[in-house]
Amino acid sequence: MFYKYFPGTNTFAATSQQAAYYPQGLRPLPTTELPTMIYESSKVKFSKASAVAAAKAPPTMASKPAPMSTAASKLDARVDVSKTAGNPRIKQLQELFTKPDGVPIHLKRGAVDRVLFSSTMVLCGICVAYTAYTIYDMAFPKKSQ
Amino acid sequence: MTGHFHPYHLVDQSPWPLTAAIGAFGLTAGLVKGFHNSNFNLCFIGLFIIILTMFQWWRDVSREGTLQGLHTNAVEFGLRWGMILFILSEVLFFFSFFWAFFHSSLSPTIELGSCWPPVGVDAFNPFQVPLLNTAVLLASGVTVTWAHHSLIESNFNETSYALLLTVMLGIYFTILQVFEYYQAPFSIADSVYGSTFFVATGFHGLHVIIGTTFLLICLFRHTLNHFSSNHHFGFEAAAWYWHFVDVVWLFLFVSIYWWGSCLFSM
Repeated sequence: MFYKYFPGTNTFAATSQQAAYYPQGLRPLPTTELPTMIYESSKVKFSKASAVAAAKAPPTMASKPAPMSTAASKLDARVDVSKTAGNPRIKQLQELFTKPDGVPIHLKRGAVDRVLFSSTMVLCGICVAYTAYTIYDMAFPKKSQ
Repeated sequence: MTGHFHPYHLVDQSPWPLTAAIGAFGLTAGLVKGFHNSNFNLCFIGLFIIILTMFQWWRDVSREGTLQGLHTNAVEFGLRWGMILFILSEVLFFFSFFWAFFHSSLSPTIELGSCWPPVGVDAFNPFQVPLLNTAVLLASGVTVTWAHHSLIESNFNETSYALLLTVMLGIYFTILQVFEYYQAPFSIADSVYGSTFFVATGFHGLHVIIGTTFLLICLFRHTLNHFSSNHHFGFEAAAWYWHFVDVVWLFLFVSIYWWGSCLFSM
């Protein structure tokens, strides 16, 4: 079972494995002290095996989502985390694309984006001029001698 | 991303609607010019601009979803409905071709010989290549489901294999249709039979090519780790589209190829 903390209602709810490690949303989690997580309830009872695992490495709720490597090391080795969730290349690109530098999305990657964008724009200029010429040429065709 | 207290995605200013419009303008004017004096240069410039725009626009959408985390649940809900309504519009598009086919075939006019297929039209045997095509598309429906479940299970390799197999089956279908068209004993100009047959199956073939491209892009994105086990709407949209293409083929096969090839007269 995986749980996710909902700051609005101050509750935990069952969630997917991935959402538990990488809670998505536009608001970062508050940095205030979080209440101690209580897993066991009248509905949820722990088996002996998971109690042992929990005692060995108590999972903690960090104020920010922890990087995959540290989060995974704190947990039981049996936990199967999706390969794609912590892909380093994607993480790197996510950092690049979420940098608040005011550059619009179509130019964010750098030189390649600028070359593609400007060649599209140049072609558009040519296209508009050529279309205007074509329409004029077909509307007022040259008289054949 | 901080400072926004709502789940919606307010997009950046984008040049792509403008470039798409300019490309479409050049394409249509270029087509008219091409039909007039066989000079298709402007047409190709317009087409190239549209291809460049499509690439960059959809590249930006996948950046926003995968790399900026802007496709929240609320945004994805909108994307889902967008895709559902798009496919619905495609269903109605094909509905009109079936309407034309049944209108012409259910009461064949005296000019056709009051029979269907019309006099002189030698229709395809539906139980040769068309039946093989049916099997190919049904099999590709299975493999795309295999790919989806592998993705949900975070099985990277099986997703790749199944998706590659789906794309290959799509290409195989297209190759078979091309051979079938080459060998057709009638043309699009052979009465309303040829018109309805080639317009309906031709547009279906075009949609198969679009669906195959869509799935191929998903395969590329999958190899770049764009899809996670619980967030992969791009793939799901491609799968929906593929199933739609599959279902249209079943209707084409049953009504135009099979029922439409059995000779009957009024």
